Amino acid sequence: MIDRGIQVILNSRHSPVAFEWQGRMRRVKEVQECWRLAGAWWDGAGERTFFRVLTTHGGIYELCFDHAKSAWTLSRVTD
Amino acid sequence: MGFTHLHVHSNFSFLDGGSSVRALVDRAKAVGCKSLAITDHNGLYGAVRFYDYAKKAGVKPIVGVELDMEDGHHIVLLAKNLAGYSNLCKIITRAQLSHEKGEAAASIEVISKYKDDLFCLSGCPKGEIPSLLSQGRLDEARAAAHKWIDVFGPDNFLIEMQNNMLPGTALLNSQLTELADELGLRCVATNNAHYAEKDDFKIHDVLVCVQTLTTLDDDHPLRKRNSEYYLKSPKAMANLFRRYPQALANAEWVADQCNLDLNLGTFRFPDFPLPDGETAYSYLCKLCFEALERLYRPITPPILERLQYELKVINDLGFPEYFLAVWDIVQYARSKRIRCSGRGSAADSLVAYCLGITIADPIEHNLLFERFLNPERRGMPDIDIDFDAARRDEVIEYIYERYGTKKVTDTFLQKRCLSPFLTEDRVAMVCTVSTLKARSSIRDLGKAMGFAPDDISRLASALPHVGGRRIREAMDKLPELRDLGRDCKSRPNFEGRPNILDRLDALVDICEKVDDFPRHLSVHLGGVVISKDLLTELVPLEWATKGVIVSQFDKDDIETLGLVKMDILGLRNLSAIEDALVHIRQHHGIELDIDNIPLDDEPTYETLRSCDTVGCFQVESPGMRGLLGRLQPRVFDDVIAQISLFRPGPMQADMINPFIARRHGLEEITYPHPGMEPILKETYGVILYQEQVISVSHALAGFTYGQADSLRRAMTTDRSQEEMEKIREGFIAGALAKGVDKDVAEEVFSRLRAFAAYGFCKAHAASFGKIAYQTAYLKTHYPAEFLTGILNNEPMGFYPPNVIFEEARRLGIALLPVDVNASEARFTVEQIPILDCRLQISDLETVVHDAGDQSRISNLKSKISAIRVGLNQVKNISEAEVESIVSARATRPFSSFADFCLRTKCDRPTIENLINCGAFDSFGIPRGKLLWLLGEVISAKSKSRKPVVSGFGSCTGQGQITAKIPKQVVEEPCLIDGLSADDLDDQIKNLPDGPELSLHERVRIDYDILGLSTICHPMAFYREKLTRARIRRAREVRDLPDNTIVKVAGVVVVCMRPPTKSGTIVVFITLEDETGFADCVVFPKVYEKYGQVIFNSPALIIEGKAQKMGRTYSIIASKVRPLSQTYRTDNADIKPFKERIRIAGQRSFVRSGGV
Repeated sequence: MIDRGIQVILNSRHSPVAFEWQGRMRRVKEVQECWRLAGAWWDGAGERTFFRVLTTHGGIYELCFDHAKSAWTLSRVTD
Repeated sequence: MGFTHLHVHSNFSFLDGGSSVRALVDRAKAVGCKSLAITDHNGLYGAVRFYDYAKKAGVKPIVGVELDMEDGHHIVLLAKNLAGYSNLCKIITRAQLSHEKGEAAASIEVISKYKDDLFCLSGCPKGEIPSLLSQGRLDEARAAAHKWIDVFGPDNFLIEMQNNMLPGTALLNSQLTELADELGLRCVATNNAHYAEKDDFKIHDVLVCVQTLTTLDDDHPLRKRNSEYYLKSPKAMANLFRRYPQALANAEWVADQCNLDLNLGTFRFPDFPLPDGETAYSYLCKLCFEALERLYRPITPPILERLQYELKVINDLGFPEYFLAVWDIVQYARSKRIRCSGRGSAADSLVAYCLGITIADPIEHNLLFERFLNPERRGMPDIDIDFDAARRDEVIEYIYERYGTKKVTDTFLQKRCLSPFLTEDRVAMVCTVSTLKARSSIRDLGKAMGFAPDDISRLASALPHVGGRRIREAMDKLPELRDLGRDCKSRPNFEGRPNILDRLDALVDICEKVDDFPRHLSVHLGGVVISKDLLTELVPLEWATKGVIVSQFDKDDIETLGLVKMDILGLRNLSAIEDALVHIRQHHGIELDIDNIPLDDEPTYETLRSCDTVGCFQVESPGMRGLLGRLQPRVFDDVIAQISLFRPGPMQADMINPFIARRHGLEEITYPHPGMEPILKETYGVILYQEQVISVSHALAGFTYGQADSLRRAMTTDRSQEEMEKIREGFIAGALAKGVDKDVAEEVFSRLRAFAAYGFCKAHAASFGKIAYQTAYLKTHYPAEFLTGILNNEPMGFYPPNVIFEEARRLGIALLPVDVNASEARFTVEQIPILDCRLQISDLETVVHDAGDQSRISNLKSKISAIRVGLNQVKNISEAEVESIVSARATRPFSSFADFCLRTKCDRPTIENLINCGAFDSFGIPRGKLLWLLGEVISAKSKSRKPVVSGFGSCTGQGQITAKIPKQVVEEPCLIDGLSADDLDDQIKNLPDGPELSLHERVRIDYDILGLSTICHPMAFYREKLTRARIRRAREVRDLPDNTIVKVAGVVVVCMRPPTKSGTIVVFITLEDETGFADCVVFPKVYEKYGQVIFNSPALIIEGKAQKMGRTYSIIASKVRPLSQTYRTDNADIKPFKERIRIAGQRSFVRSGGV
C-alpha cells in the first residue's frame, strides 16, 4: 500500500490514460478493473473509485480517486 | 436502446430496500424505462400497489420475487402472466409455510411443480452459479445451470450479470458469459437495485444495520460496499455493459414477454351455501322481509319502498352473497350470545339493520343509504363489525370452519400446527404492515448510528406520535425536545468523534426519509380474507406469530384485488357490557335486554349532563366530558351529535361553537336556502354529517344521491385547484337549473366544501352512540356491575384500572381487597351489609325499581354493592397459581395461612405479594408474622414432598387423608416436618407482634402490587397541607363562580397535545384527586415556561382561571408546579408520585398508577 498523491490524465469517459509516478509519466495500456467503495460516509468520508491499470511497461497500479477531496492517489503498485 | 431493470428491491424487502414502490416507479419513468420489475425477498408484499401505481404511471409492471433457496443461495423469478403470478404465489407460500417464521426457503421440487409461465434468473452474487464460479468451481456451476435448465428449459432460464463496480466483477461476468454461451443460455443484465437514487444509499445502509442489529461502525456482509445499487438510467447501464450489449437487449426481451393482467376491479365473492330453491338474492329478500315485520309495526309505505330500493341496489351491484356472508357470521355470534354491533356507514342501511348486522335504526335516525352504497359507483361494500373482544376468536374460528376447505395436509405443517385456524385454502388472516414512525425510527436508526441508549430513549419518549417527517418540526417546536436536542449536541465528544451535530442531523434526515417505511408484518387483529377460489391463486401466505397464517397483502391491497375482507373487530366495551349483564343477572336476578332499553331514560341523560362519564364508551375523555358539559344532551340525537362533533375536523372548522350556541338558543338558526332546512334542522343549521352533504347536494343541485355521494368523496380527498373548480361548476350549474340564486348556490357550495372534509358519518356515530348510551345507562343504574365489567376487561377505554377503581369509590361503591377466600380470578361484585350507611334508602329503591321486584327492597336496604379485587390483579401472579387457589378453595375454604400454603401451588414471590396486599388479613394474623412464617413453610414444603400413587383415596404419607384424587402420581404435602396446619398456626400465634404498617405504607404497597388501593386515593395524604394552602379539591371547583382563580392539585392521568385549529400547541391535562377530575388547559406561553415540569412530573399543582362549561369546568393554567417537590412527604414513594407510567397504545398519555 502506498497512498501517495499523483497526477492523472483522463479520457472522455473519465478513465485514466496516463499518470505521473516517481517523476515519470506512465501510459495506461489497459484498465483491468474498476471498482468503487463508499467509505465511512457517516464520518464525512467520501466515495473512492479505484482503477487497476496495466501500463505500457507492464506494471500494474491501483489508482484511487477520492470524490470528496477530488484528489488522486496511488494506492498500490505491483511492478 | 431501452432497458428494463429486472432485479429490484423496494422497501417491502423489509429493511433491505431504501425506496418506496412509488419512488422506484417514478425513477424508472424519469430515466425512460418503459417497464420495471419489483423482486422483493420471499414475498409479493408491495406487488399490488406496485402494479396499480405503475399502470397508472404508464410503466409496465413486472411482478417477481427473489427467493432464498434451502441451500442458502438466491434465485429470481418473474411472472409472465396471471398464471405465472399464481405460480409465484404458490411457490412463495410453500417456501414460507414449510419453515419457521422469518426463515422462508424454497426447494427446487416446489419450484419445479409451479414453474410454468415464469422466467428464472440465476441471481446476484449470492446465486448458486455466480457463487460457485467465484470460488473457481466451474464444474459445479455448470451442473447447477443444468439443474435449472431441466426445470425451466433454456428459453426461460437466464444467466444474470451485474456490474455494481465491485472488485472481481469483470472476471465473474466473463465467466458467466462463457458458461451461458457454452450452454446456449441467454445472459441478462441487472443492477440488483435496492433503492431508486444514488443518494438513497445512506438510507439503505442504515436500514441494513437495523436489520442486522449492527451499527454503522461495524462491518457486515449484508452491507453494500458502495452506492451503485440504484436504478441506473439505460445509458448508465449501457456504459457498464458495453462489452455485453446482448445482456442489455435480453433484459428488454424478457420484459416484452411479461404481460401481467391482475383484472383489478373484479369482485371475487365467496360462495354462500344457500337453501334449496333459493338464489342469493331471493334468500336475502326473504330474510329482510321477515325481519321487517318484526322490527316495524306498522310497516309504512316509505319503509317498504326503502327496503325494496336497497335490495334492488344490492342486487344490481352484485352484492347479495356478501350480505348473506356477513349475516351468517352475525347470526352465528348471536346464537352463541356473543355481543356484536356493525359500525361505520353500514348502519345507513335498512337491509343491514334487518339482518341484525347493525343496531341503530336507520329509519328512526334518518340515515342515508347512499352514504353506504353508491348505486353509481361499484365499490366493495365495507362492513366492519365489533364483537365482544373476549370471544372474537370464536367468530374467526367459525369463519375458518365455514369457508375454509381442506385442513393442512403437509406433514411439516401438521406438526407445526399451533392453532386451530390452520388452513391455507380459502380463508386467511389479513396482515398489517407496521411502519416506521418518528419514535420507532429514532430508536432503530439511532441505535444503528451509534447513539447512546439513554439519549435515544429520552428523545424517542418525548416525541409525539407523529410521522418521521415531522421530527425536525417537533424538535424545533416543543420545549422539552429542544432541551433534549441541545443536550445531545452539546456533548464535546461522541465516542471519540467530534461530529455529534452531523450525526444528529443525519439521523433526523434519514428518519424523515424512512417515514412510513415497512418495518415488519403482523396480523391485522380482525381482518379475515375469504376467497371463492384457493387464496394462493392470488395471494401469497406466510406465518405470523402464534401459528397464524396471514396474507402478504394488507387490507387495502386485498380490497384492490376484489377479494372480500371481513373486519372482525374486538371491542372490549362490548365485553365489559356483557360482563356487567352477567353480574346484574347474578345479583339482581334480571335478564336485562340492553339492546332494547328505552332511548329516553332521563337518569341516563342526567349522568351524561353531569359529565361523570368515566368508563362510558366514547364520552369519557376530558374533551368529551367538556363537550357534554356544554352540549347538555337531552335526547339520543344529541348523543349522535356529541360523537360527531368531538373530532379534529369540526374543532378546526369551528363547528362546535355555533352548534352549541344554536342548540341553547343563543344564536339564531339560519339556512342559506329553505331547501336546506329539513336536512339541517336536526343539527340547528350546521352541517355536521356526511349524509347531510349528500342530501343538500341532492336537494339543491338536483344530483342523484349517487352523484351527490361522488361529489362528497371528491371533496374529501386532495384535489387540485382545477379539479375543485370543475366540481364547483357542476354544483352551481345544477343549483341554477333548480332555480337557486347564484350567490346562494356559491355560499352553499363553499359551506359544503368547508365541512365536507370534516363531516362525520352519522350512521357510524349512531352505532357508536347506541353503545355509548348503553354504557351510560349501565353506569347510571348498575354502577358496581358496570365498573366491574370495565375492570375485568382492561386495558380498555381512556383510563387505567386505578382511575376506574377510584371512580367506583366516588360513587359510593365499597371496595374490597384481595382475599384468598373471597376473590375470584377477576373483579367481582358482592352485596355486603351496610355497616356505615351512607346511602339513602331512596337510592336503593330507585335501583330496585328498575329490577321490577319490589319485594327485594327490604333485603337490599341492608346491603350495598361492593367490588372485590380479583386475584389476577396481583403483580406477577400466574394463571396456574390463580387456578390452584380457586380450585383448592372450591373443595373447602382456606382455614388458615398454613392451610393455603399446603393446598395451593403458589411460589414464594406470589405468596409474599398476597401477604403484602392483605389477601390473608381476614385470618387476623399481622402480615409481618406471615412473612416470617412463609420462609419456614416453603423450606419445609420442599423437603417433605412424598410421591403418592393412589386410586381414589388417601395420601400414604404420615397421616392426613387428602381429598379423593384420580389415579396418578401426585405430590401431596400432607405435613410439613411432621407438623400439621394447626401446629403451624399455633406457631404463628406465639411469634411476637411486629410494628404495624401505616396507612401510607399500605397504600404504597397496594399500588406496587395491585396498581390500585382499596384504602384511599393517594392524594388524601396531602389533603391537610393542601387545604391549609387553599388548594381546592377538584369537585369543589364546580360550585365556584365562573372565572374564579383557583389552585388544584392531583395526579396526572391525562396529558396530551392534540392538533388545534390554529396549529399552535396547547396541552390538555387532567388531574385526579379523591373527589374527581380537574381538567386544565395550558396555552403556548405557559407551556413554554413549564413544559419540562408538565411532562416530567407525575403529580402537579396548577393555578389558573376556572372557566365553567355547563356542569363542568376547565382551568386555564397560569402556573404549574410539581406536587412532590412542593410538598415533601413520605408519600413521594407511592407509585403515582414516583414515576410517570406510559400506557402502551395511548397517545401522549401519561398515567398514574401501577398499571
